[in-house]
Amino acid sequence: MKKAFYISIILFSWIGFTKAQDLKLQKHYADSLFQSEQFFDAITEYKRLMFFSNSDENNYDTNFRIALCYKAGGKYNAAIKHFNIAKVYSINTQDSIATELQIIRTNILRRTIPEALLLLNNMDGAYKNKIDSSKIIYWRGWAYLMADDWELASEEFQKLNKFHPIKTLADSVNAKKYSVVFAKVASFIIPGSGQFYTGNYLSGIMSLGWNLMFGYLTINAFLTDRAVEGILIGSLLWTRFYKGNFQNAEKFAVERNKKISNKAYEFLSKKYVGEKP
Amino acid sequence: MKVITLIILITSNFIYSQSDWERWGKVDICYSPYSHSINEHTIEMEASVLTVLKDGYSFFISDLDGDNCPFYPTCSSFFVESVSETNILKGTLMFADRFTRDSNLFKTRKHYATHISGKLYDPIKNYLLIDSTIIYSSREELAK
Amino acid sequence: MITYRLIQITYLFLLEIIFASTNLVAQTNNDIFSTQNRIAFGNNLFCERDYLRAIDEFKFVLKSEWNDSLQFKIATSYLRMSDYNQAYKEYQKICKNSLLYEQSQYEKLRSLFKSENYSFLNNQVDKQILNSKLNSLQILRLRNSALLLEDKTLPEKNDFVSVYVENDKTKMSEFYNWKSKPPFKSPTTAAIMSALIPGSGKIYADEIGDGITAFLLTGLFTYLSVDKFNNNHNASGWLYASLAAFFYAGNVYGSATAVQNYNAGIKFNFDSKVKLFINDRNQFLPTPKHLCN
Repeated sequence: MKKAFYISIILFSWIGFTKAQDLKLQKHYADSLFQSEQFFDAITEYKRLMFFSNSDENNYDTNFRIALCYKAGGKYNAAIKHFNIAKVYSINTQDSIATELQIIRTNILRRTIPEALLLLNNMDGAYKNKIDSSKIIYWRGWAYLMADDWELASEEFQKLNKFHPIKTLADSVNAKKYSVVFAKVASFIIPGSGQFYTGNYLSGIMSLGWNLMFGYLTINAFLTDRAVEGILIGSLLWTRFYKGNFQNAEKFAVERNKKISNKAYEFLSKKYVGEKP
Repeated sequence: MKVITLIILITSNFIYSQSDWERWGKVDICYSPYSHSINEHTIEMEASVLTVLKDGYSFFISDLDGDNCPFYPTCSSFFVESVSETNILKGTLMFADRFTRDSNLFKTRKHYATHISGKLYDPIKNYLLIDSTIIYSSREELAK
Repeated sequence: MITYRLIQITYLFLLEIIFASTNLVAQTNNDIFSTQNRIAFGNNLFCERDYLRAIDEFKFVLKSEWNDSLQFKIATSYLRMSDYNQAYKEYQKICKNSLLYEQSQYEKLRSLFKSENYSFLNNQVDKQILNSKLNSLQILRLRNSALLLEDKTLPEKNDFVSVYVENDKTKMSEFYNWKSKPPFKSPTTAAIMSALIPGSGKIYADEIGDGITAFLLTGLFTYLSVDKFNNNHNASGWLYASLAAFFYAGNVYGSATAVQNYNAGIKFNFDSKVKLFINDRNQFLPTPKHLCN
């Protein structure tokens, strides 16, 4: 009878073993879906894996993977939620630092830059000596990049390396950018000059032309005792084109700057080889 | 503590679960915050004279007088669209009305919904004198 | 001794077979893709409101065996994802001998109401009333409410209100009064008003700023035109006169459309109020129970 007892123990353990093996297979299945970028289905299988495993052992890993899936699919809210769950289940500091960094990177992608910066500052205090501080600087620099603040980004990347490729890029963007205030003030003083500054020559000439014409018509109307007409032309036409003139100069400068930024962003997404959020 | 955080996280599930109510795939990440801003609405225009008029108006006037038009579609597009959808007479009447509303001295704009572009949504269909074509958009939501 | 040994071996052998077979059974039970496990996982997803994934699991199970409660959950998933047409189709698959048939009929009406297909809802209600099993009072409540959102003549006020519970009666009779005599304004009146005094039609349509602007624009150009003609500047006189005519005619036209838009606005507000009230009462229909436990 003793033998039978042992045998039964072995057999029961075999049953347990098959279940563990099943879950292992399931994990492989889910991982393969993840690798082949079928993120929606991968999440289903990771969820199934979590549902059927009795221990919390895999929860960190699985939630982390689910979050990565959501991140790749652009579902940043869901991604951050699952990174947070993963953080709860993380066993060692290394893991929690990894999830924390992912949360920050997802925040950067979600364009919730203030939150990303806050988390980065908190990390500085929470994981002193346990984290490579260059990482925090690097992601802070990226946060500024995504907020279109190339000056602060340049400062951050300079802390890493004087010749960091992003630092050089940020500096060149800063050098190319137009001053919005200057464009506006210039057009305020001489209509059309702001447009000349931003390189929109035709627009500048026409703005100057309209303003001269309506200015002349308004003044002429007052001089020839046609006050009502003068007020009409002055208020409806001249002020309209004068206001439009410096608003336009501002708009052109902002648009030029956007184009310059866009070019830099394109470089970052296509040619930059370093780590990206 | 862990349990409490978990409970909070799981209940917050309800907010986010809607992201999976449609199948989705990988998306290309775009770093630029300005990728959507340069999409101008263009109308299919049959009348070539109108097209020339509208382009001329845009080039000589509306591009130069600042961003005055608070509406979507803009006044010149409104004119072209209304003429091509009805006739020159009705279109002109509609445009005259629109111009009056545009130059409203009191800037009372509570009667318009907001368009997704940030302007006030004021479609041609609401001014054809036909009850059934009027699209009343909720003031709380953005019209597309 | 040998026989004893033999018996022991056979005993062990038998034991082995039994365990081996239990092992097999256990293995199929442990197979996380088995029918039961799929259902369990699907239920879990359903309760997490991850409906699309739940539907996938349930549909997979339904391929091999029919299960009306799973079908009901599939339909409910669509309903909760606001895919009302699909929900209606899925509820329709539940047949008459099912325990869930009665509830699925209610849910079908609910889907129709939510998809704003009021005329079809009306048709269906006429059929359902004949079915004595369902609570006809509740269905009548939904039908009457749907009438408020349609362009149809309403029944007698007493008939209309009497089906509702005491608490809802005041609200429903309020809605009834609005619907039977909506406070619409007349576009013709507005046009005539604006023809007499420019801008007054706009003010009538609650567009006060537009009205004053129209009055000023028309008045200003008329004044300028008269002034020019008086001073014998005929060319600019005609120019200002045509501008005045342009704004005058545009204002008459615009006053009519402004009233139309005003009417559309108050109708929209009324409809949203009614919908909010009805949805707050769960469409007056019983809600399904024990979907998540």
